[in-house]
Amino acid sequence: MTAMSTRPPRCAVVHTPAWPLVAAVMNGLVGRGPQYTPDQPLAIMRSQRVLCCSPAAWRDGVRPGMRRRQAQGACPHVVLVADDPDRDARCFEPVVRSVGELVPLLDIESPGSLLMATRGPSRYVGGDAALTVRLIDLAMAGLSAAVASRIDPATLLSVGGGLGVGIADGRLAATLAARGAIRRGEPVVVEPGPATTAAFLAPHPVTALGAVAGCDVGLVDLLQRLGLRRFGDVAALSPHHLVDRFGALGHTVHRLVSGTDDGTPSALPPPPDLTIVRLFDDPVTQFDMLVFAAKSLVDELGRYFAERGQVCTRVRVEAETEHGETSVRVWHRAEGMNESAMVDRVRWQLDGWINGADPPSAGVTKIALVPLEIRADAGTQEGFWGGRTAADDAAARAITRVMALVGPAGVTVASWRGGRDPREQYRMVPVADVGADGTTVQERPSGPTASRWPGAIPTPSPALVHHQPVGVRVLDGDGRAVSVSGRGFVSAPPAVLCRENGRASVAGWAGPWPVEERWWDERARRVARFQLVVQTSDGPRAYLAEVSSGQWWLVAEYA
Amino acid sequence: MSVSVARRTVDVSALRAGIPAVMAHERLLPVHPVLAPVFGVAPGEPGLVRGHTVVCSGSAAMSCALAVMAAPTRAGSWAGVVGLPSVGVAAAAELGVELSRTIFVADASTSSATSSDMAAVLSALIDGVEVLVLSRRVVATVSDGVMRKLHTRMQSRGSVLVLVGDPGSVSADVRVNASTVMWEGVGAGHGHLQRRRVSIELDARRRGRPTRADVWLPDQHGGLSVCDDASTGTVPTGNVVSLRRTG
Repeated sequence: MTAMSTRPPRCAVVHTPAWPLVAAVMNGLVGRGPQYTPDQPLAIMRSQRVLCCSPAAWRDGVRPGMRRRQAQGACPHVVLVADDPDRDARCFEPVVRSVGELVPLLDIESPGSLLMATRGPSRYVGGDAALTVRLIDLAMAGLSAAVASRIDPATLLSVGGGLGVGIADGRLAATLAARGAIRRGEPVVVEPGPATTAAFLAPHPVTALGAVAGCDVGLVDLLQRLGLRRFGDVAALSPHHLVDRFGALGHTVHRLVSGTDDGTPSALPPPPDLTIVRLFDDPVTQFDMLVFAAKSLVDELGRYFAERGQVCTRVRVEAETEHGETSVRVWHRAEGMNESAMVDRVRWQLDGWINGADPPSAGVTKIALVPLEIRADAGTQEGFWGGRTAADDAAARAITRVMALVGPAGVTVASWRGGRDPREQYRMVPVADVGADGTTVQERPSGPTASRWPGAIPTPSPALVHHQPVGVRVLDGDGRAVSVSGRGFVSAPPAVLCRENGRASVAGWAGPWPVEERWWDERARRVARFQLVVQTSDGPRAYLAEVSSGQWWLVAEYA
Repeated sequence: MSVSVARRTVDVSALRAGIPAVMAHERLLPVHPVLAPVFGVAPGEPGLVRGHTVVCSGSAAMSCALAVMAAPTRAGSWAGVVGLPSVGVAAAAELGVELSRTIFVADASTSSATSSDMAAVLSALIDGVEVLVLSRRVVATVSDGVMRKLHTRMQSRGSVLVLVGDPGSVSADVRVNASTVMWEGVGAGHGHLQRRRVSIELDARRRGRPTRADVWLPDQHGGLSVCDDASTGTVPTGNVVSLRRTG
């Protein structure tokens, strides 16, 4: 109830839309990667598609979402750069540090986007307009220092579409203001007050709810199909109608679009003592070890949230060295951070700190994670029927660890392939290729409609299939080797099976079943198969044997 | 005195951590209905005690191990098969093993891994799977001390260890000896293997006499079925196509 009555806090957002491009150019300037010039047509590729492109590339017709070939078709001399979130975060660190001198408590939404509460800083510098100027100056100064003044920071930022600063009531309005500032080319300050905020929000399309506020894509799509294309259309509806139709979510959406509520839907303050700290007796200097330690912290936090069906949307990551140097960052993600997303953010922060321009002088002795904002996890509920279970998750974790130990090819699942040879009916597929969620494996077709492989050995199948067939000799009653003629006739009934470790008398046999496969290529195979039951000291044993070019092999055992 | 106090604090802290009380049936994993009488439970009841080591031996050891792991994987548990590169996957599927929840891990002895790696692999797997099937060779590569540690870990995680073949010095909670009595379906140059009569003898610790039963393992569909004496000796008429000498 208190959330309804309180006005959303006034926020400032500093935003660069195509930060990965800026990071790529910066990386080249400081000698960490290939060199690019800002006026070159550049495009960042993620999953074989253009994620963002520089203004020069845009003029030539490259657009986000294009495939590699399309982009090269539109602009043959476009330079395609692979996406690298670590590089983006590392290059953003100087900006964060520079702005952090004025505003200590910053939320990093993603590399390229900063959010802060303006109450203190605005008073300090003398108003919102002055704050926007200071923020731009500080960001430029940070960038300029990072590239050692080798390039004008404004030129550098123009690659990424410029720098937008917006100030408004609430996180959503401020973010939209910063995006608007980029289009206008000057900072946007929305006057405080519910009426001006609502008027500012009204013309924005509802798709921004998904892109900025982390709302469900399905909801945004439904609003559009209902003819509610702009924030103003939704805000004009009575909240009661939205609650009728969408429940609590409708209430949240109405508050978002009318500018009376910021923050992510149903954000809760976390319990005050929920801080997870790891102290190292020996200061850790290796980056990988730190990330590994952070991962165990994140897992611990993840378990805590998983037990309560919650997800963390804002987290503060703190690291401290032996010499007292600290790195404190607040990370925010509207749709909630799962464990891997949180580990990514910790890694970005530590990477930017340790491998950055001003690295700490000693090993790290403390890492702490402080969740600042949590909400009910509506995204990944465990399935009731047929969904993921806790056992599946535990197995997935175990598989990952085992893969690290024996290599990705050593952990396999069986996938039906078909065939008449027991060795090839199932293929062992590395789990790394198919994922192990218990669904991707090809099942053996069953039921009355399933067609049998002609020439396959009828059920039951052998329980042991030797991938290295065992060479044996099979003799008839007179001690001569049994052979199979080209027409598929046995020279004499098999009577004795001679293995390396002794002889056994044949109690029953069936065959030969000739198999002639792939006669059209070099994998051609011409064999005759037998089933042999031999009498041993501990009872009868049954084998599947093959005769190929006069040599007998045991290929499988009915063990 | 001090010992009992210490134990009590452990129990309370476990309760505080939100560990629910474990019901008796939750300590059990399902067992194949045909094997249930051998395990001393009614068909359909779970009978495989979590934390136990089951050793399958005899000439039908492999099929027997697959039959033991079939019911838990059907019920949603994951299984790991280590060091058995020659396991017949088709036979496993026919016995009812859910292959989508079965992981096959390469034998460390075939790669460059050492025995300590093997111990790490096994302990990692115990955390994630509820049925762990090991070959005799894998057990031989790890030391007795490591094996005991794994056993303790397995008991705390509630998984079941299934060993195929002679267990060596490993202490077994349940010993299942599956010996072939007879194969049916194959004659002198005709027919094909149809089913096998297996005599299963189960000897468990803290249980009186060994229990014994005869089953068809596999039966003519590759599954596991009860062998009542009435059906003994009558070979079911399968789809047998005998070859004819022509030309």
